Amino acid sequence: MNTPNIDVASLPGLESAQGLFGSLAQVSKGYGDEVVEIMVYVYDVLPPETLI
Amino acid sequence: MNVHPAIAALRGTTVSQRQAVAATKAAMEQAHQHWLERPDICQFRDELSRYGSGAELEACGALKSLIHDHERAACFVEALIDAALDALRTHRLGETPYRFKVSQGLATLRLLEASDATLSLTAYEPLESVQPPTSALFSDRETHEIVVSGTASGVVHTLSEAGATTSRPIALTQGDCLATRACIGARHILHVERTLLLLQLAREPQRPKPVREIALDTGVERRTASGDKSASQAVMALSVLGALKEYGALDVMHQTALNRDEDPDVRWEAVRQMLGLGAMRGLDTLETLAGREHDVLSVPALALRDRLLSTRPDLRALWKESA
Repeated sequence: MNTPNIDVASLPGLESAQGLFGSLAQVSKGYGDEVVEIMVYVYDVLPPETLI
Repeated sequence: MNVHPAIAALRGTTVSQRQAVAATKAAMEQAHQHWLERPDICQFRDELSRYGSGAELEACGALKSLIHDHERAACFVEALIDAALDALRTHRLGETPYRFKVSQGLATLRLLEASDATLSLTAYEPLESVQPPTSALFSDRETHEIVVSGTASGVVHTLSEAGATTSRPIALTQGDCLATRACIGARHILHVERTLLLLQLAREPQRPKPVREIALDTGVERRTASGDKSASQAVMALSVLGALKEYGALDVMHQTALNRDEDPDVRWEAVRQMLGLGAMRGLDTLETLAGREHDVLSVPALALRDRLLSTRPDLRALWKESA
């Protein structure tokens, strides 16, 4: 097929686009309690049951 | 080298390993299930579900009592730990099946969750040199916490309507309660004298507003990030599908792009990935979006379509052919 390729990286995001959830990494040197849910990315996709 | 017998037992064949692990898991799950089925825990789960769906905390008596009455909170935590320890005494390599996060000086277990509300247990351990923060994250999350044990000090931040932040120091000790309001409240634990154990009740709306990082001295908003975990997961999933060249996903991407109820960032990512997978189909979707009324994506879609057609003569030629 002759369909031309478009490089996704060259396509703009929305002007209103925000950082991904959890991307505001620990903003202060201290307890990493500011982003509460970041750890559950892995478990949501790959629950512990499936690790065996 | 001394190998503990329990670990040595796992060093058999893959089959015996799997059996041993499965048996331990089953036992831990069963213990967890027993705990979940206790009448008092069932009541908490019920009320947590109602609270998560928007009920006032006042209307959730057992939950409210748990998070405001130290004796109740302490009993609850002790019962939980006892149940877990019982299981662990028999199955020393078992894992209690709670979602958890561990980082330096901080550990948190998610005990119960129901419809956007969660009940968690968090421990802050003494850490050396915790620097006072220069900014705070304000998220769309309402929390109620009670100190089960320990001593610590910290700061509570409030964001006024005018956008100014005020901070006041707090001292926390056994039995103290702390409430943080969604979007306008934040708190930092700065100094822990004795390990601080907090029982935390939290809830978020279904589509949380963005998380904002605000500088504490100036009130200036430094950065924002999505407050919606599922939307960010969808964005990541779309990028992965595109990277894996999953042409079978084009239909779903098309539907996502056109779905007005979906998060705009998710919709736009669907458009981008479609263009990467199949330029013509992507342009079709852009065309549909550009022509729509009352759609937040119609303006950017029109702009991107025009840009692509003007900078890519190969696309323009094919597009004209198919028109």
